[in-house]
Amino acid sequence: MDGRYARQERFGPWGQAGQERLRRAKAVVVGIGGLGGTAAMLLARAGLGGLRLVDPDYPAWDNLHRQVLFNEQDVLSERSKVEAATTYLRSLNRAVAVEPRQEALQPDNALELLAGCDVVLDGLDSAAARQLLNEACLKLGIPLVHAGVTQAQGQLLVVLPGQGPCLRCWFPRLSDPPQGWSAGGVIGPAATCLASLQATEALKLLVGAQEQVLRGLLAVELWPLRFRLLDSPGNQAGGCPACRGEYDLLPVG
Amino acid sequence: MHSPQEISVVVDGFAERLPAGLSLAALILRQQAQHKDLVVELNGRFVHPRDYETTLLDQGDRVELIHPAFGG
Ligand SMILES: [Zn+2]
Repeated sequence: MDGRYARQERFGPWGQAGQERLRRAKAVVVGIGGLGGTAAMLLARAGLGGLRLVDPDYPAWDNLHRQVLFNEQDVLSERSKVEAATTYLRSLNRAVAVEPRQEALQPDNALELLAGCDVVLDGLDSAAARQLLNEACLKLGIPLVHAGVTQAQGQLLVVLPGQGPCLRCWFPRLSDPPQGWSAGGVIGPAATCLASLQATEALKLLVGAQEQVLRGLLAVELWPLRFRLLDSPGNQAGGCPACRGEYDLLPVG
Repeated sequence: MHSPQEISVVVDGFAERLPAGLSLAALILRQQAQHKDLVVELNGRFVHPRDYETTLLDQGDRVELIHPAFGG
């Protein structure tokens, strides 16, 4: 175990102090597919203290091109994603307390599933579920690292409750596109690229480098390759009902 | 005959010749960029969807149209 984290501790902004903060921190990853699974793996390898995994699904053959936590045996054995992921992540780093929760994020469990965590990573696969996740994070005051991916593109943004725009400020009509728009296509490297950026933003928060966190919305296109940063001064905190505490999806109270 | 006035606008990094007075909403249609959760930035400022109809483009404007992805 000696020197296990030496190389990342030698990265100045991280250091031993950051590593110690990370060891005492806890993240929840909601959805452990292409985005959340890869991000969870990076956090476990980095030595995060606690990792709660939330996902209702089972590994499928059409997951394996992008979902790095799962292998063929997991598909054949019909183990749940959180169960297979827990086995794998513990094999990577037994110091990480992995907490599997085989549940879908719902209005009645959202607050409980996120409570007690230092950061939330969005690995969901629909706009509707993301709106719920956004509301729950705002209500609990927990930073949310959002990523989304489809085809060969996606976007990244970090919601710091009360300190900047939330998901709904950026997407006021937050909703799923009509069926057929994306046809569910996605390439593996697009998912792992967005997930890697997402894990990096979470790690900045967890090692205590909040001032380095992404401000604005990063739009990533891989095919052809283009990164655009919308560092939009017109989009302020409080610009939407959710930021003002008007939650459409969470239970009242 | 007075030819309709054109303006030059940079859309997603590419210069486009557009009719003067075109609204953002009309540009979105013209670019076939309709998406319920489209994110629009005009000259570095976020534009709320409620303002697409009333925001008119000017010579030299820069517009970014971002289609968000909500898969995982
Ligand atoms: Zn908001």
